[in-house]
Amino acid sequence: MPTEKTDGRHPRTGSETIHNRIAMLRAERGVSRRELAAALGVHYQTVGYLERGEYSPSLHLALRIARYFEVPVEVVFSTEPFPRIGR
Amino acid sequence: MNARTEELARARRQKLVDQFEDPRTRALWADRTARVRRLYLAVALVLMGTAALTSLALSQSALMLTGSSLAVVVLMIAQTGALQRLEAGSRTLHGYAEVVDERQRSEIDAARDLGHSVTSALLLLVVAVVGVAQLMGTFPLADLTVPAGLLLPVVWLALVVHRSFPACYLAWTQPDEQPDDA
Repeated sequence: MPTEKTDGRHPRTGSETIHNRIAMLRAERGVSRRELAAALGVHYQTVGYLERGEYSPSLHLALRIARYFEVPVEVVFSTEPFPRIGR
Repeated sequence: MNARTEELARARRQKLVDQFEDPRTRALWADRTARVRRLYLAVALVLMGTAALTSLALSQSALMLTGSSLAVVVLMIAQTGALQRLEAGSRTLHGYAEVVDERQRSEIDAARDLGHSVTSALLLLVVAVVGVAQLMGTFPLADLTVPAGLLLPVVWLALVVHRSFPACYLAWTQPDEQPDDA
């Protein structure tokens, strides 16, 4: 299967941007960046990059994140912006 | 892989992690402004080291040979220390792929890709310059020869650029590290 070569660091532009709710889920469950990073086997800085949308995770990491929060992957990641809660 | 080999591999990985995540290394890397200052220092040391090596390669007297040798030794030690700090901070030391996560690996790989392109361009430039110099030197009406000793600093500089480019590039492009505030 052909794969797109990208450094993964910079958010993709336009329709290729991946939005996520990691920060919200993490805050909701009272999990620190370090705890989440340790559970996922990544550096805690990487969690920050993911939350800020500066890095798009691999499918493998995305699935592990969803499994950690015990939600379907589409609850955490979306190609469309998530609706804002409140004003 | 037998138990002994596995044990050695694990020890090597642990040593790398210890180097990369050493609090002093991280403290030196975290602030981009301070990191860039050290990058400038490393570049200055590399240039001075190359100049000293050129002087050594072309030295014609015992005094110049002694002075250049001393300068080369001092500058090479300082340069190696400065570059190794940058390589540990950027996590680009040999074997990094086994201990970094996917984001870090993608950033380092991108920097290495760019580094290979830069080194290729640099070597192509050297070949072009040497070719032109040779042509001019052998042209019947010209008398321009390039000392063979110049090959040493040029090859040395290409080697240093090849080795250190990813760390220097990451030192320049990476933002400040964010504190673990939540």
